[in-house]
Amino acid sequence: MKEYLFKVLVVGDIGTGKTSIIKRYVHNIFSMHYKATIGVDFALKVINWEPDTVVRLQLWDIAGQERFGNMTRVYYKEAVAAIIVFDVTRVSTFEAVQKWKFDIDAKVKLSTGEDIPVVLLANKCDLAKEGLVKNSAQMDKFCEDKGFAGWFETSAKENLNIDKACRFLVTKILENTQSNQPAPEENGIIRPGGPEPKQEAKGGCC
Amino acid sequence: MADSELERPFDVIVLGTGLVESIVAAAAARAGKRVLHLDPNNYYGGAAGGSFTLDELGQVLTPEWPASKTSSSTAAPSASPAAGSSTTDDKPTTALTEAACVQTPAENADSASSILREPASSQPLELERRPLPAAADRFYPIGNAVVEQPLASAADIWAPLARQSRRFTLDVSPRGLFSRSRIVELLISSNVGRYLEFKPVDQMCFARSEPAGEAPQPVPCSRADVFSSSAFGMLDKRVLMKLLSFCVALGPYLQQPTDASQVDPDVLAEFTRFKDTSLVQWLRAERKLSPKLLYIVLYAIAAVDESSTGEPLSSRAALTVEQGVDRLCQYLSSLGRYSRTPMLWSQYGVAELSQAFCRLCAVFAGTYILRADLASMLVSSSASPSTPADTCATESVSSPTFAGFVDTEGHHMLAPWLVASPEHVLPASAVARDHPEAIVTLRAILVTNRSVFPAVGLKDQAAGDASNAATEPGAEESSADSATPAPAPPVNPDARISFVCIPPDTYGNRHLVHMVELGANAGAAPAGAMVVHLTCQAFASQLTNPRAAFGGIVAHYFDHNAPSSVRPVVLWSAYFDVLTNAPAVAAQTDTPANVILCAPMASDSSIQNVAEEARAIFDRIFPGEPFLPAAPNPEDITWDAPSEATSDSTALDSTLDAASDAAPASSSTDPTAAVLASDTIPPPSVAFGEVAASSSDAVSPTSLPEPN
Repeated sequence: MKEYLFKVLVVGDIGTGKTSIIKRYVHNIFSMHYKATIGVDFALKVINWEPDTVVRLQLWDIAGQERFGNMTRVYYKEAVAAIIVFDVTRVSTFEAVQKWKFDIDAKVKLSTGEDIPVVLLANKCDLAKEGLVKNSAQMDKFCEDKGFAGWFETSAKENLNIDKACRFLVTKILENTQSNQPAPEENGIIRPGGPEPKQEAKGGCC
Repeated sequence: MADSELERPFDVIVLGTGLVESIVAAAAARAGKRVLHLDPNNYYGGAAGGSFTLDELGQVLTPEWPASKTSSSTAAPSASPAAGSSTTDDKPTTALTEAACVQTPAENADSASSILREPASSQPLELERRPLPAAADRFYPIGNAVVEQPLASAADIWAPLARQSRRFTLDVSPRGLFSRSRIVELLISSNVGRYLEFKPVDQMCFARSEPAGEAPQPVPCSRADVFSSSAFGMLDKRVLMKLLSFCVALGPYLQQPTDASQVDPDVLAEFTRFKDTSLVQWLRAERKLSPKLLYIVLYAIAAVDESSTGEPLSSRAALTVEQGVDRLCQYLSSLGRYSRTPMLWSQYGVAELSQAFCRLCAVFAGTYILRADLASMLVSSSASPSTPADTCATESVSSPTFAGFVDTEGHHMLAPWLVASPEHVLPASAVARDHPEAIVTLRAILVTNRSVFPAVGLKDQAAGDASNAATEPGAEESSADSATPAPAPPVNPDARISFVCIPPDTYGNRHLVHMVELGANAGAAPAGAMVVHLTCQAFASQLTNPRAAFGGIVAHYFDHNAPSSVRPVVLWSAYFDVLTNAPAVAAQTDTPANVILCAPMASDSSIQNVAEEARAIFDRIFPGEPFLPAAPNPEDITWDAPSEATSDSTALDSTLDAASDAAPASSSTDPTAAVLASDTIPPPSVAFGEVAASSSDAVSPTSLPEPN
């Protein structure tokens, strides 16, 4: 039995539906009334990928309103893939996509030094579209030019294509994982609050 | 949308992302408060607490301010009439008064007469705009910076390293964490520790001037080290063990001074009698430590910045027995918790700590704006709300109150409290670097080509690392450890993280100097380079040239000439100082009562007081609120219904409470005793094993059901 744990960033401008997509994907629920994501770093999706392979996907939302400034390094580190979301009804959110892609490429790399795979989600595709997204050939070209692994029209409301996009992304991650050895210097790292060394064989007298 | 978010009043505005500020922000957001966290910088941690790449560090040490400086200096004369009128009340110095009005006299005239009706507020407030100093005129904690380019003879080595600027993590204020300290307990109890990765400090050492040319000697970290030592006679060992037992016996009492029942009456009597006297005198006269023993206890363990004859090196008061025993207890109780040594080193720099708390704040809906461009502070004069705001004189009404900020785009951001780094609000002229009480941290950052520790010592060191069979912390002495067969792989000295204490007068240094050498383990430099930090504290009026302060040490350990086979070569170096107590020495007396200034983060090489400082600020603003209870583990949260999951705060709270109940409670029993009672520490390779999030074998249970 193989088990994988992957950290995936979910970014995009405010109101593009990041939280809705995560909630739909992880919990299969949709609500119009989500507020900022409060109190948790990520949502966990467990996928029975193959009969002998389980993939655990941590989907890291941009917390609350960290949108105004640089995200902390804590957010980016150890991510192996990212999802950039824009809202097909608002061109400005598409224009911000490149900024997000640039930001991710600057802040996080695979251990091979390559960029992490990023998929682009054209969300709210159940609503009337605006801009480039109306032309799917141009979108293909855009994604190729800008280095996206792929793009999908999604709707958290109608549950369209979200599973498909995530499966696509996991496939990309696993392709990288075959060639990625875990970094050896991970040994010796201490996380306060993690398990402390079992040392107290109590009762020993001195 | 963003703007409307900003206009709703916040519970607190935090300006600056230093560690104390960030902890306060996280605690407030965690308690459900609306938090706005601003930083004019585009990085976290503040100039004094940041971690930088090689290229960034140069900019931080010697910032090139925007052109605004010239305009403000020409404007100064025209501002003086206004300044004169405002000195009537509480402006004690003309320097400050000028600074307050110098920036934008035109705006001053405007704002003094303009009364803002704050749209988001239910009742109209009379707010006055008080212009903030421009960046170039603000207090800047870093001074006297010199960055030295490498010598031509080392250019071949340096060039490829310099191209890897991003692989450097250079801390302006490098600080290790004692494994059992309040900040580490806070990381654990708040669950913020999960964001961070630390490495154990590989060795704690001390330097001595004789024998000449000796490499720094390890401070033994276990009872076995003490007893196997051939450097001390039996008498020394007994004196030492008695001293350590004394400290251990006092441990619980120091933690909880209200309860003396657990303490041996004789120990308590001695402590009570001497606690306010000089530590050095007590160790010499009462505890009868030999000079050799005293040297190690004082410097290597208690990090006392005094001469061993008990004469203070400056006008600072001598360390008391109470303070000294507290330091010894800290050291002893930290041994063996995560590793053989008592210290942890934050990977990727000390600014990671700030970022971890900022992430928690953001996760709990804190609003973050970096590169914040603030134009003025909004101040209301609550003492006399009916006073007409006719002239600059309103500025000097006896109790002005901070109300918020206006940024350069005109956004109003309101809150009843401001927690701020002094560097973002104080004008430079208000902070006198030559103030008799001004304390600076003198700093050097060196990039070298290899370790000061000789490779020949490797075998002994490795054996020492493995000799954990018996754990009795606290020991003094230096030479060979009892060598048991070493399961731990030998560590290349160029990979290690080493703390070296250099006592006063060892290499011409007047003060105690902390040297931290960071090898590959620390991730502070690209392969082939080491980073060496030198740090000491002094009164600014007594010692102002960092280059001279460290001159003897650098000359002793390093070569500045052609690469030599004898000593490591300094490839690149930066010298500077950081003013550590700006709020205390600032001439600013008209800071509104609801503005709390934090000290820049730049003390010695450990972080001990930040947690308490942050907590005190939090308690003042939000009395009675819980301080950073454990944040829930995302994997433990189940969403039952969409509405409850996100918008119903009471439902969320109960989830969080449940999560915090499950969190590991910080030990209420005496940690010192626990460590002393323990017999063994597993070798380091076993001791710290939590796998990274990205590794494939991390498994933990989840409560989240699969969707159908």
